[in-house]
Amino acid sequence: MEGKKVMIIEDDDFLRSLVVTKLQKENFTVATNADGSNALESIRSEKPDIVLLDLMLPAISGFDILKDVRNDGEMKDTKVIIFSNLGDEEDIKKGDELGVTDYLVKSNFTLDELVEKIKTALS
Amino acid sequence: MRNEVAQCQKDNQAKSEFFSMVVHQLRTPLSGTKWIFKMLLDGDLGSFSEEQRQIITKGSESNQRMIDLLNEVIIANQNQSWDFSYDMEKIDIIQLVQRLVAEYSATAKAHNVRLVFKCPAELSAMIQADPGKIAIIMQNLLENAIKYSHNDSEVIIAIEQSQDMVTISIADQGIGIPDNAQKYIFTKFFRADNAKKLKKEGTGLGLFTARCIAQKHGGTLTFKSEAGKGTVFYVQLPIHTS
Repeated sequence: MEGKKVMIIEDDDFLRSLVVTKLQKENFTVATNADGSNALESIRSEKPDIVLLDLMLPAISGFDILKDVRNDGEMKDTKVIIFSNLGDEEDIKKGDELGVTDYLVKSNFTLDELVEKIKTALS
Repeated sequence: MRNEVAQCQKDNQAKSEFFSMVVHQLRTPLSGTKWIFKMLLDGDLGSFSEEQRQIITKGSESNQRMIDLLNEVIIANQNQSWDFSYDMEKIDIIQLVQRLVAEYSATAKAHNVRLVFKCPAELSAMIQADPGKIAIIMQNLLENAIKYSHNDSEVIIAIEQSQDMVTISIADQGIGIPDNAQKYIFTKFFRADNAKKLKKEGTGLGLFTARCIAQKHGGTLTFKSEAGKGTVFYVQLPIHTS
């Protein structure tokens, strides 16, 4: 998808590198944040079309990042897909309550399916 | 007594958090290998021989089985600890079943099994249910029916309605359940010998979970089976009355 920017907030180097490679192959522009620290500042400066957000991050919980985004005057309508291997009902419900665009459990999706989900969210 | 209850709740909470952490840690490497296998099979990392392709395919299937097993264990754990919350709503059960049958058609085709959906055109059945949980029942039954079917056979999914109940039947022409195993079939972790012989993997939790969910909805899960000929499972759920 030419010209669309995805910000990936993911601390696992291996998983992040695979997602970056895939998205770049699909002509997305990609920005990354490897531990969640200063995530809101990263999102403000990069202005992505969509954020792919892990939940278990070293510096902060993904849910706290999402809360900050939704409370931010400028970035509150940013599309966010939670992309995590946490998938309890409570986590999914919490994501819904925080206005997440989609909630994907990593191990249940191929990278092709992830790309389709991103394209659907952006269309 | 109050202190003991509070301590028990604290212990359960700690167990639940530990379980979530373990699941997360297991899923993380499985995600990576799932993606790598897909990239290999799609040719994104170069070409290889047919023999190598077969080995990589086996690896990919093995990895997916681990993911599926983990997902089953998670559901069973939720059921056991009564952590299942039910978000009940009015749903069109026919639409739901039809969608799931469509989703499983590729899996069935891969096993050389045909899925046949039968439902009278004029039938419209609304039930009060948690659609996600009903999907779990259907997924378990469809997966079993496909898994234990003979090559080039049919699985017939039919819906009927009586006055106050809707019945969904899933009938396969597969290995069936031996007489001496039938009374244990809904027992947690139980797998009949012929099932274990055909497919080594499986937790034995699917039918236990499916029946619990049916019962929580005020319904039942029953079956008829003959070894070597096939099995029919019947899910009965109450019709929604406003």
